[in-house]
Amino acid sequence: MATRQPVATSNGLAVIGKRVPLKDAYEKVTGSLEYAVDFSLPGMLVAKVLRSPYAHARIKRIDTSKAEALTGVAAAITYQDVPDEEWLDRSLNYLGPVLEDRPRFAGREVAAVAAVDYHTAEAALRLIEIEWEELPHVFDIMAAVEPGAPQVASFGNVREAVVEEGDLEQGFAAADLVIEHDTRMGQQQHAPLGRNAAIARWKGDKLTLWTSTQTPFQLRDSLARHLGLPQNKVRVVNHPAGASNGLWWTNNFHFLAAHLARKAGKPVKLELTQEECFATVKRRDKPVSKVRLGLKRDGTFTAIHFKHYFDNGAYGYKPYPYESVSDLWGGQRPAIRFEYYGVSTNLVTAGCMRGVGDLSMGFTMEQAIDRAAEALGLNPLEIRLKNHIRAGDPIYSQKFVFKRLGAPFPGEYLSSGALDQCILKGAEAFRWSEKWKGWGQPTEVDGSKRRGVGMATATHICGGRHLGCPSVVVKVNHDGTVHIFTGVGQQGQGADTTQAQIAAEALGVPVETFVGTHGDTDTCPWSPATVASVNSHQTGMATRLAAVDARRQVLELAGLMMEVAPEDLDIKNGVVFVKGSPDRSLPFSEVTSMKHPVYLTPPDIIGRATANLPESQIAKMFMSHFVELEVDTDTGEVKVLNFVGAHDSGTIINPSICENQVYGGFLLGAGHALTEDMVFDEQTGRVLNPSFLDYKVLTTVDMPTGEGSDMSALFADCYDPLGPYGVKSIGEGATCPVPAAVGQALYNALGIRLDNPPFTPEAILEALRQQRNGKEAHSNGHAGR
Amino acid sequence: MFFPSTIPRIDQYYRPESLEEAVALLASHGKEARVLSGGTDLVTLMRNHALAPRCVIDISRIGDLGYVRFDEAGGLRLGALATLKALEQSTVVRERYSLLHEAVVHMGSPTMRNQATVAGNICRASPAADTAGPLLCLEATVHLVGSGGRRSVPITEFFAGPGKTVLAADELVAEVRVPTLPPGTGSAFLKLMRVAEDLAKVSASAVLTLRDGRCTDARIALGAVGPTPLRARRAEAVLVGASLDDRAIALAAETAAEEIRPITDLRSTREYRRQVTSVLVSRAIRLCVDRRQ
Amino acid sequence: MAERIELRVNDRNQVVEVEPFTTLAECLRNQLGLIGVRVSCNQGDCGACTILVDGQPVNACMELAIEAEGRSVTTIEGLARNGHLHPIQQAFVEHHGMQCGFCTPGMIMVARALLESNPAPTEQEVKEALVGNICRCGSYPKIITSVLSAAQTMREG
Repeated sequence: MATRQPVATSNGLAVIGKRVPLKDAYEKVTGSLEYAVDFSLPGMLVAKVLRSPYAHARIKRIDTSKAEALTGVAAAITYQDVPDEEWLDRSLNYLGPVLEDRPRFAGREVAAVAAVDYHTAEAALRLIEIEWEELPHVFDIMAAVEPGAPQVASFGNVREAVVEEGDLEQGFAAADLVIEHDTRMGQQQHAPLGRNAAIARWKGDKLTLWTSTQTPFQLRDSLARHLGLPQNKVRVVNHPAGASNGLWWTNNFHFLAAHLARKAGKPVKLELTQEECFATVKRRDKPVSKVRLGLKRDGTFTAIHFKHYFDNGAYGYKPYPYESVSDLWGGQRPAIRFEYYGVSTNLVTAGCMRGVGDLSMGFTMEQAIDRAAEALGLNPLEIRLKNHIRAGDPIYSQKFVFKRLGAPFPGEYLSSGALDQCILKGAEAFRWSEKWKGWGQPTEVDGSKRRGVGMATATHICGGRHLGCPSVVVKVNHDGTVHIFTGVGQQGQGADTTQAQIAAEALGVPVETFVGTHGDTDTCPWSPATVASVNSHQTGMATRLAAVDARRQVLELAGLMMEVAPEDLDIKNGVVFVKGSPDRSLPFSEVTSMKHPVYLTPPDIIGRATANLPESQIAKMFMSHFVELEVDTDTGEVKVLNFVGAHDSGTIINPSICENQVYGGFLLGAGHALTEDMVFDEQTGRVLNPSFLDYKVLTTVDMPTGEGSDMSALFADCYDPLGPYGVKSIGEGATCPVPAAVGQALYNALGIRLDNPPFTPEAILEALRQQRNGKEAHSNGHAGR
Repeated sequence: MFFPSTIPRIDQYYRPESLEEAVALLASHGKEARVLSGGTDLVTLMRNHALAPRCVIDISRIGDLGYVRFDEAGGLRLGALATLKALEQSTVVRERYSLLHEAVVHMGSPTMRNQATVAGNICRASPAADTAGPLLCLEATVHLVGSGGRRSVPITEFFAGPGKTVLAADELVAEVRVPTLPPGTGSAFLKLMRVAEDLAKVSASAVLTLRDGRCTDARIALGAVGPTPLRARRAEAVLVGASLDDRAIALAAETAAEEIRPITDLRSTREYRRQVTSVLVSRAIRLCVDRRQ
Repeated sequence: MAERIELRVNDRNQVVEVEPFTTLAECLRNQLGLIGVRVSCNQGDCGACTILVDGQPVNACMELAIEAEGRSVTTIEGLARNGHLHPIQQAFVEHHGMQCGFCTPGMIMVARALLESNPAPTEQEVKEALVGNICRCGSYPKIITSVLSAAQTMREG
């Protein structure tokens, strides 16, 4: 495959923009990296969880006495052993008690035991006696919003939010064309490779919990609140996570481990099985979306009215899908009204997964735009270029946050944007103009094989003010090596490496001198969480400032030693020198190891910073994806042949990491588009495919590389004025355009519109059958489309 | 309800040194015992608590059973422990039994093929067992050894239902024998999957013999479209005696789709399976014609 | 009914006490501390636990420990020599053939078996060899590049 070098956006920088190997690459390739499942303590017990077989039921009686009497069992807990109160995830992905007498989905925790080994623990679960009363349940989100539907959550089934701007009626009145479009999507699951575990240990009244999480400080804060402990009596030690994609945040099983360990009086490890990871924690929120799009004849958008119903499952609490689709198409200032309905159902909790609302709502919007473009005789590039948002344009998606906070909306503007570059450069790299044959027109036909191309665009946030201030500490050791302390999660996105690159750039030393500690809440400064693509842009600001703070201290010392004013000094590549006289220099390590004239030891240099995004300006990432695929009309099989992902993520910190993020985004997006779909039992709501055996994710062979296929990532030349060194973020957005691009390519290959991914061979053959029947019906004089 | 973390307790583990010894152990432990060879099925079933045998009889160390042998008179002989990888790497299988080769190279991962055996694949008797279709078309015989002695069963009579075979509780597969194919024969195996490594949604196997432009023998087998891997006898009958023109192929393909009893499950739908069965049968027939030797 | 068995693991003889229901993955991880034997699906669907038994790749989650008695086992921990990474490991580091790293040991072990039998694989052969190893981060393109690059390095000696 071609390894395309990205556009250089980092001229003059020493570390930013370099293909630095991952900081933990050595541990990863030698197998020594310790995920939470690899952690153990002496004398540790293992935990097993008993789960509800019913979608919705009341526990009339529960008796664990026989289980507790079993030799080797140290503790059993039920809802009677935990506080009768709900804990709330900071990003509203969970609101519920740790255990309760009314489990609301099949698979929900009912009781847990700690024992000397798994056989004993499992035998104990079989001895727990429960008398059940089944309650009415609801699975479908549109059924759950109906009056009289079984009530799932304490707050009712529906959480609502609205973002609006401008006069919608006028907007539609000014339109020459109104497109109405509805979609449903399949049910994607994070399907993590690598599972997770929580190891809890109490020493006196202090709890330590080892786990893999994107949100160590939220977990610490939630545990402290729930257990009624001060924050310095709860320590979360974060481990790297296997491909989390938004799954491992603050999860209910963490609380179970803490309670079990306290009751057992011993350390307890609660390690989830693959099935538990897939079927009992979280999944992507399943959407039903409806959009009305008003346009002028020339393609100018005049009004967008979006209604987005999304599934919160049993314990989700989101009123809003963290989306930027409402901002993306504001280039021509259409009136907008975006209504969101978070709906509770008796299925496993749903919430955020990489891309969140920008994937699901983006899919619907892109399809509506495609329909409009075809009706108006525009190609997919033109209509998008005409309407997308650009730097300096107002954005409104955060308005409701201010409304909820009771604060006046200050007015917010986009800090930078290069979606036009993503569209145009992506098209060029993809050779779009050669391959595009018009709407519903295949690029090539060979027997039953039809090729088609498609493209789509998206945007996503780069963190957010409302998340709070990330803080970072950069500690310079006496020998000149550097330690960075942050609260970032490590789930494969490379944040430990990219933060070290930012700090190394600011400090003027090689990145190799850095070691990181991330997410140990006793030693690291507070950070909001690794959610919302926060790190490169928002956390990066704090990292840069912490390094600048350390640099100031080094320069002050060097100034003393060299008898030069600190402002006349600079540091590059580990050398402190006088500006303009590079021969007057000292190695960085000599400065840091020199005895301080007053303290008589080398100085302790600790740089620190707390930084949040500025008011009123917001950075967003942009991307345009291009897909070529081949469909076999006899079998419905789809093979993706080529992929180009063109991204505006501001300055690229590490091209290799960013390319991997784009490829990973493609994998998740294409999986959602083609194969991935959770299946629930119609009667019980149980997940029927909680494993890689029947939840199919794409393999090496399914990726478009080799044999004439190619995947490539390229990056727009864009410098964000807010981000450190012009950096924005990338992770989540990389998933967002893929399902729409695949859908468009299928339409162009087949002339059939498919609205409800995954586009399985079964769905494609059925659509072809309907197309044939439709054609027969139209054969008397009607030309059809 | 809970999701198990470990394999249920096994009280006894035996590692017999001959098939006879294994059979004696099977006879004495009855239903409490399970045979372990590759482990890819048994360990998974135990892991999910679908099986909880008290006794495991590990036959994987019995000497000299991993063979893949061929001679013109006797045809192909596959030992009880012949792995999928051994078949995959066999030149004679690739050259003379191409459908069997094609079936094997798309089964599981290369690592799995290293562990899994042909005998294990047919004994599991999954309707989607990928070696079953080719063996049905090749009219293999399964040679069994039991406490009552040895017997052989045509593969066409071996499968009794989903997960069921005619194997008695104290019997083991000792060998699978595959006859040589007459001149003018071509074969093919085709399979549809959800992603590039998967169990079959549908598989089609075909072995056709042609003489002077006419089909003299036709064998078609279909996987994952009924309670067992099955032969499409009526479709075969359509072909025998016919010249394999488009019309005959289309008729055979349609007939095959009528002979199956597909269901909707996690891998596919009944309607889809019916529709693509015709497509695969038609494609397999054409491949056989092109490939005849 | 635990049994003492001997294994040769990463070129050292080991004696471990295992139950008949202990899988080889459990034994290597819990008794010998070889956490590089990653267990994800625990039923042969993801390839993360791939090790070599007598030189052949095996899913350690699908084999009983007792089955491996007397065999020679190589895990990812046995690849680097005297602190020097194996060329395949080195290539994965250089080419970013990983993101979260959970699949990495399995990928490298399969690649090692592949390059042993096929020192100059095509891109398609590499893809097919790795078809049973899931990378949920989607690093496949760079994983393939890493394997092809390692093959070249190893050929050039």
